[in-house]
Amino acid sequence: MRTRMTVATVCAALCAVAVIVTAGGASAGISTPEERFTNYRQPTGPEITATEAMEKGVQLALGLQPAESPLAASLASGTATVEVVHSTLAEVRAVEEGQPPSAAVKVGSDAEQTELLTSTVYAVELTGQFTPNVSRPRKVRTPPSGTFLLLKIDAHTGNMLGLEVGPTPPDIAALGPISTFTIGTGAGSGSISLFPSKRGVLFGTVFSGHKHVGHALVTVSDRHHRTVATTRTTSVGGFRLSLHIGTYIVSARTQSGRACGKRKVTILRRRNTYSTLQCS
Amino acid sequence: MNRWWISAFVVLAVLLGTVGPASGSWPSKSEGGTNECNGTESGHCYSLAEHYVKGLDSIAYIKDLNVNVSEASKGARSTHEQWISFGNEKEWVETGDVTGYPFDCCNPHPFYAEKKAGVYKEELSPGIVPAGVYNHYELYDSEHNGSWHVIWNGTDVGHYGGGWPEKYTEQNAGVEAVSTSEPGSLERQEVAWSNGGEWFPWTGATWAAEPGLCIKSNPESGAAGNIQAGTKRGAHETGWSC
Repeated sequence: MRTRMTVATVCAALCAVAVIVTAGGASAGISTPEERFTNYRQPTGPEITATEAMEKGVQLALGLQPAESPLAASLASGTATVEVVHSTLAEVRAVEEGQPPSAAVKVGSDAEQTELLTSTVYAVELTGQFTPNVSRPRKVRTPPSGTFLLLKIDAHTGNMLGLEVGPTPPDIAALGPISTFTIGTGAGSGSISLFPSKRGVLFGTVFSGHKHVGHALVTVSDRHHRTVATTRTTSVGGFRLSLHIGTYIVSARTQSGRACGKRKVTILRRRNTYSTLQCS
Repeated sequence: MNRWWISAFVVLAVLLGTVGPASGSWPSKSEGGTNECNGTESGHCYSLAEHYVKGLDSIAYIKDLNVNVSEASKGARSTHEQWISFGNEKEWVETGDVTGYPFDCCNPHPFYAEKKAGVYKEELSPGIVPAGVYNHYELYDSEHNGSWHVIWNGTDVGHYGGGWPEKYTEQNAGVEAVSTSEPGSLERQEVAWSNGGEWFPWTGATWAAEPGLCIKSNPESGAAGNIQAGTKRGAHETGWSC
């Protein structure tokens, strides 16, 4: 190992010399292959929407929790709220440290880190009770917990780039306009308002435990038990329906006929309503 | 007679297949397992080395030999990493690589995290680190002010500066597995500590391996704290019977 460290030290010294030489312009015409620690490249192309980021955040949060977690109960009772804001990773990190977004350090120690810091993300903040099952030292038997869970989600890929859990959430409002969603039976004031005047959107996810249930039949009924709309979930358990404003019962069945519960939902004008259904 | 031998062979084969190390289940209590490693949803299992010293800089070279977290989509994870702590078991800084949730079963991603004043923060790289080579993870209070820098292969990738002490008092490095079924996980590590100048090998390292996990000296460099650690499944899948 001493040999490896010596090599690393020598390499570091040589790299430093290379940087100095490059800065002085003496190495013009010499190109060295760019070394990266990982295979990360800053993603390009279309970004996911705030609503999709919220859905992804809820799915990620559920996966971080034990099945009997308070979060699952919050989702079932419709008391969980989610706030979503678009930013860059560097700015979110600055706000997490209690600094303004303008204090964000956007240049990393190498190209890979710079690309990561300047990548666009959604800060997705859930409120409730959280005990994410994250790594901890051997002698620590109690997992971290808190009343908020902040997830940093890559705006292109939907990958989770980090999380924070604790008692006092950072001020993500400093990052820009927030889209707010109430999970379960409520409605959300999202940034999306492209609906016909007397309609809103019902969307959600069907779960079996933590697993998303694809191709489940989702049925929306009115108060007279008349079916007003049906759809199938996507391969990752998501569904979306445009509905007239009103109160409905949403239910689902798996392809094998297993019931996935019922939930009362209220569709408000030009609003998103998110609902989760848990198969028995 | 022939029929008897065939029956005995079949029974033996079934038994061997059932109890083999690649069965995927953590060992039961009767096999020496504990609830922590035996199917509880939040059970965390460890195979690692511990070292007590006051230091400014902590380094772990980590070589991933096997990562296969079958239940990655259900929240399961395995990390190959180092932790430093400061005399308070509720607070720590850590870095290394993680395989499993929220990523896939079989590709390690570098990460770092801290738990301080009741707040846990974790940063995950979406990139994958190469397996089978020693990757370098370092935690360094370079400014002697309780701001701990995270350094990967010589690159400063972030820091935690929320009022940590200037020096850590404990280093841990090895494997952590969080899964209801046994994941494949195996690593080799080389570790050292420093006060900002010369690197020193660990002295008097303590090994801790819970039932179902394996540990031995790193065959490439057997200094204290340099171990090969992982799950029995990880060992089995790489040809090490432990």
